[in-house]
Amino acid sequence: MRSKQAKRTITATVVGIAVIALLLYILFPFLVALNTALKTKAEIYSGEVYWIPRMPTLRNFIDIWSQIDFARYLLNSVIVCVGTSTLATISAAMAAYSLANMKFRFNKVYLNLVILTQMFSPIVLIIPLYRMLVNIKMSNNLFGLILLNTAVVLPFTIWLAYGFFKSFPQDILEAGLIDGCSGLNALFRLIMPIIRPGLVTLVIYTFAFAWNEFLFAYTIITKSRLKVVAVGIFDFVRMYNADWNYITAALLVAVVPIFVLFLVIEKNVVHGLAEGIGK
Amino acid sequence: MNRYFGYRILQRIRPVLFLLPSAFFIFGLVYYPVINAAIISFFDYNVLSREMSFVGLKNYLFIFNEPLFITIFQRTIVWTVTVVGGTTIVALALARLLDVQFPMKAVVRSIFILPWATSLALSAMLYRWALNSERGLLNYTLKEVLHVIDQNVGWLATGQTAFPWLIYVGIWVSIPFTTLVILASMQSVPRDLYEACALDGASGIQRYRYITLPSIRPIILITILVNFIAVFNSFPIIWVMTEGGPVNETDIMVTILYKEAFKFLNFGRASAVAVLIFVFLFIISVFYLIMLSRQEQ
Repeated sequence: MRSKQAKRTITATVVGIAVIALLLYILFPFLVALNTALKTKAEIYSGEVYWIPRMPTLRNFIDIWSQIDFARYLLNSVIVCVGTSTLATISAAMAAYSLANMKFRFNKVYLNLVILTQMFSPIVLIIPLYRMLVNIKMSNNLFGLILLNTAVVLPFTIWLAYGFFKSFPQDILEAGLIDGCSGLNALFRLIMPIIRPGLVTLVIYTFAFAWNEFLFAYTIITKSRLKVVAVGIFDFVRMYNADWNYITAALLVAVVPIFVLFLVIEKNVVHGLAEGIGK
Repeated sequence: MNRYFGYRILQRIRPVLFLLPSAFFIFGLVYYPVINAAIISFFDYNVLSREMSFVGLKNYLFIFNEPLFITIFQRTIVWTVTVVGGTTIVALALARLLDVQFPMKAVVRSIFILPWATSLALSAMLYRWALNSERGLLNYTLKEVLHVIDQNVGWLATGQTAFPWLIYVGIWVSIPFTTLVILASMQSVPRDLYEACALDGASGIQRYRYITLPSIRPIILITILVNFIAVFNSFPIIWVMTEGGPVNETDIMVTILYKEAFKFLNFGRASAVAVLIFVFLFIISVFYLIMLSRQEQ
């Protein structure tokens, strides 16, 4: 009996140490950034480096709005994210509705073509897409960026949406259609309310994708006033490699909104994926 | 009669109408550009004068005969295999850890998804600063707190030290997602399997070895493929931390593609690199999937 107790204590200790090590591993770069963001520039360059700021200040979090064009970057990011999220969610929901709930001979083919696009990464597409946007005079245009983002995020969004629509009971839908609901009516009146959690997942997932997308935003947009957050901060890193008190503050502010959104959808995305892969 | 006929027509074309928006994006902005890239790769294409001249296989022959490209291809393989391998091993261990009950688990799990929620570019900037040689807290901690180094190291100043750090960051950003997918599949293993096994007197390790691992094997193998494609194509981490430098010491295929295209404005050659990347990944995926389905049977 005693040995069982001892064994349990050992397990608890091992788990405890592992969890603390994990937290340090994950948080290290954020703790470094927080440490710097709470210091004045003078303190960072005082010649001494140390972990706990001696005179912690929130100044940097106020100054980034004037020192970096942070408000504009943020606005651009929000525009791109809302645009991408709207376009991708609507197109994906319509496609998934059709693929999961309607009879069409090429449904399987279409779904496979959608999945096959996962083989093409943005980097393989960047040159022709860049040329296309230049030709139609839509480089340096947030709507152009929204279109590219939508194209890249759409296949996976359709895949997620397909799972949600597939789980909708077919007989309810048929009853609704017999009662005279049109296709769109059925979509908005019958299906949407029931799969709302799934739709929230799609909206947030596509929003977060656009927030985190870097390659297109970095390549397509060259005008400073149209840049999104990540690209704007990166420009600042390259031009003012000394102002890390502002850079780290801006980085931390840029991480927070998406982190909060991820907390909401994390389980839905992971389960949708684990199940999708399992099939 | 007429109305009925109209309704029938609508019934027939409705599925197509609903597919139209997505088809615009998938064919217009994915499949068409892919074909376009393949075509450009056979041309000398000057972006400034917008002149295109057909050169056949010249761009491909150049790449195959240029030692730098061979080195970069080999480095890309090392980068991909170490990041994916490291991620898989760490994720397996962490999935086991997060399967255990412990206090404050919800909080730990929330913190755990931070690297996933943080974009690659932002993560790379965070590390670029943490690794800073004079002001970076990594050097400070290693030197003043842990006493493992005597003087500050310029981690990103040479390829020899920068490349391992890039791999470290690559693993760091990939872990949460991979772990959570593995964890989700671990938790879907039927509990009674474990109970039956416990009755037979199997130890924890035996249960893990003979029940958990075989059950989650398909998921592990698929996440390896998904990660392999994603990491092979990953641009922001390396670009933000080193831009492929110093000189070309940390370049991988996608960063050299980017340089060829947008620094040297050599769209033809860059497109050839893009096509080679795609063909390579396609062959790898097909072989991998065939191997998987053989093993399943």
